[in-house]
Amino acid sequence: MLFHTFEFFVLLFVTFFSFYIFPKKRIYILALANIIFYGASGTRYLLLFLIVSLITYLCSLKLETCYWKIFYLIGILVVISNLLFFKYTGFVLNNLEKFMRIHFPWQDSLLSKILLPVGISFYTFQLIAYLVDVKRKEIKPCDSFINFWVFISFFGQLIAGPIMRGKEFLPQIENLQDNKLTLRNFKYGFYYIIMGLTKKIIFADFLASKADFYFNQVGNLNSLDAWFASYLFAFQIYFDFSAYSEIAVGVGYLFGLYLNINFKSPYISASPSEFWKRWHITLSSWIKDYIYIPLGGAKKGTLLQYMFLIIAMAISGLWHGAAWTFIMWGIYHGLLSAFHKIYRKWIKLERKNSFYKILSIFIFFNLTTIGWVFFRAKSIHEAVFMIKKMITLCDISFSHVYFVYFGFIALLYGIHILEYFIRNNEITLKLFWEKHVPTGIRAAAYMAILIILILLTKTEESSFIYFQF
Amino acid sequence: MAQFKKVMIYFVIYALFLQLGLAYMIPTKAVYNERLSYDAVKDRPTNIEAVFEQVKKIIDEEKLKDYVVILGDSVGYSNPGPAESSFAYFLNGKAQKQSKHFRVFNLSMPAMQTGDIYTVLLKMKEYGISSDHVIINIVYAGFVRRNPDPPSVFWLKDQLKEIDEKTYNHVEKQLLGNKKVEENFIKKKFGKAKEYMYENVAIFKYKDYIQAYAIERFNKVRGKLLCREDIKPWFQKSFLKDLLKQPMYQRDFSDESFIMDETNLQIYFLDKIIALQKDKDTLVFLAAMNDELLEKNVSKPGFQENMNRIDLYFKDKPVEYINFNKKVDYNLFSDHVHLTPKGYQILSEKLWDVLIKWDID
Repeated sequence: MLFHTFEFFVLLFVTFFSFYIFPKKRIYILALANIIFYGASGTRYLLLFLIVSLITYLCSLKLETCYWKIFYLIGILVVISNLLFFKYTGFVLNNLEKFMRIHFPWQDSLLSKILLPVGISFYTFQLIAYLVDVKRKEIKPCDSFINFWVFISFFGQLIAGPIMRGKEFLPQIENLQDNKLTLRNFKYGFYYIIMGLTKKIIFADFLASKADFYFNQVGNLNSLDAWFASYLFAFQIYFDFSAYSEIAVGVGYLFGLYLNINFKSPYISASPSEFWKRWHITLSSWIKDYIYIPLGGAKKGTLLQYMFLIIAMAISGLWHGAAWTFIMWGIYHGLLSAFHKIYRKWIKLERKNSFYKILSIFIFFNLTTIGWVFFRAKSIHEAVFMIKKMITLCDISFSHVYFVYFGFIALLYGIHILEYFIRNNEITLKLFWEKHVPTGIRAAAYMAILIILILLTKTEESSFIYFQF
Repeated sequence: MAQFKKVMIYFVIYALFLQLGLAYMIPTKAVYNERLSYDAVKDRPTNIEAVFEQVKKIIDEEKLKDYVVILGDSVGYSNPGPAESSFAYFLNGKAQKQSKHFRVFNLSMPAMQTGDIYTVLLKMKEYGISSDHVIINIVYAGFVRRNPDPPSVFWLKDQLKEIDEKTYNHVEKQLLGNKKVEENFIKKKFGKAKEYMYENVAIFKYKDYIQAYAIERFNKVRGKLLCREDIKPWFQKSFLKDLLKQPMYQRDFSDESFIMDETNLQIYFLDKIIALQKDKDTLVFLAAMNDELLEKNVSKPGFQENMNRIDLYFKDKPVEYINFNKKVDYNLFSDHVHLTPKGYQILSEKLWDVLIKWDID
């Protein structure tokens, strides 16, 4: 079920009212809403999700016994096998065929039957984090399956995050009965939902068609076209993904649940480490806590640290999609992080210099944009072809139309900065809005936003990019 | 909190205003301009509700006593030309020239089957649009055995189910044909509620029209011409002969003997339409076919026998009937069955000769 659909808003509306009308039944109401939300994508996959969740839950209960190793292993194996089977079977078989020249006669018939369950990558990571946290004794195992189910499947963030941890989210689920509907939460809820819908419907969907146009004819692009296409996709994916995360946060607020903000104006980052603190924050911290640090982190020497960084980022890439392009995207970011660490060791500069800061942002934004080519291109060959054109600028045919194109990119970047400004001045702006704008005009503005969103929603619903992961 | 309540009250007032007033605020042309907007209805058939609403609005605003409604498929719709070369445009122009007060509305839509036409007649009644004077276009292909496509109700099966469940149940099996029925219970339930919303909430009912109208206006400002379909005569389209050899087109001129009882859903719905139109002015015309282009098909004895069967079917029916086959110059065709703007103009003259005899002013 997509967020910008009628179905979702009916579910949200009914769940919201039931939640506050029947405070003692809140956990059941949310559990049912989650079932309906996921069940709309397919009842078979709902069943699969329930079974995997139940096994994880039962295993977690045994992690405090002397057989904890066995149950920990079972839990992790079940969760990972589920992801591997549904997401990577095709990738593995295709590569075995390609590189080892092994052909499986049953391959095509098997692959035609495997459909990727929505949100599998996200719930897998959330289940793994839960099992590891219980094993590490960072949290107590949840003693009620229904609480656990609501934690793992909360319909606000089930399909594309933010990836919530047990220690942050489980206590909130366990104390649902204490949640009161406050005006603040209600306003914030709608603020985030409207912000997300605006990003998705007005920006992401609009940019998608433009970016697709270029990426569908990579062979015909000149150097400037290639840059333009990559910028378009950079903003498309940002608006698309941050839209989902913001709607999720908004939905959380409506139920008195606080989900993590997943995006904080990432394209104003001046370095890789800053970027990952601003882009898909919950995934970045998951990769750090459950892959990079367990591998050894910075404790095993500089060279190994760089290697762990690259491995962790490659896994992050593979998590995004079962294709070499995604792995390359991960490796690319791993390399960027490693090189940046080397650079910082060797070159000491005055960081407070604003020119240096702006230059760093400019350079890093363009490096990130190059990285997005791997993410969006259909093959490594296409990605390399495009990046080569971008870097060498070997094929420039300049015309006045590029002023308009790159002016448009500058406008998108301006909107990105404006968003940063709004976020940082939320309270001041809110106070100004409420104090100086008459209620009738405020209501008219809200109505206008609603009408614009309804009018701009496409007849054929466009999915969120991250739904495929 | 007091301020919040005030904002909410204003918001509800604006929402009510929008719900009640949008149908009157929207330019009628955005929804109905000599015919319905195919692009808006084809992607969401529930959008046809807005067309009924706007046609009714015109009838009320202009206090029309007499009007004629054209129903049919792409021929009735006057494809492939623009609205300014369609039946309703020519007939309205003619009425205006002769200082007649009646108007002609065209509710045809490409691919409409007789089941859709029957449903439109029922919907017209629901909206208070008279069906006292109706012109219906049918085509030879409509009588050909369905295998199972095309469905006998192509666009408006949900509307038929809602308005005449008995008839819907009679044809349901054929309608579903090879199509996959939505099995997901949750999606099914939400789907119904969504359709209800698109039929009843003004902003959703008019959403696609406002979108299309805004784009059209924007393109006009930019001086960008809308892409029109090719209205050249058929003999300037070299691809047509090969295109028509394809099985999906060949089916339309099948010489297999027509079954002329109610087991043929074309007959089933025609009988129902005729019963519904009892004591009303109804003209049914069979669209002409391009004999030159379809020579191999139309020269078959089976084809000619089928033509005779159609004529015979209408012989005793209480409706006026014209078989335009062989009555239209082949130079006026834009393909095998559709006409050029000039062709539609000439055909309009022939329709005019019939409707002018009706008791309308």
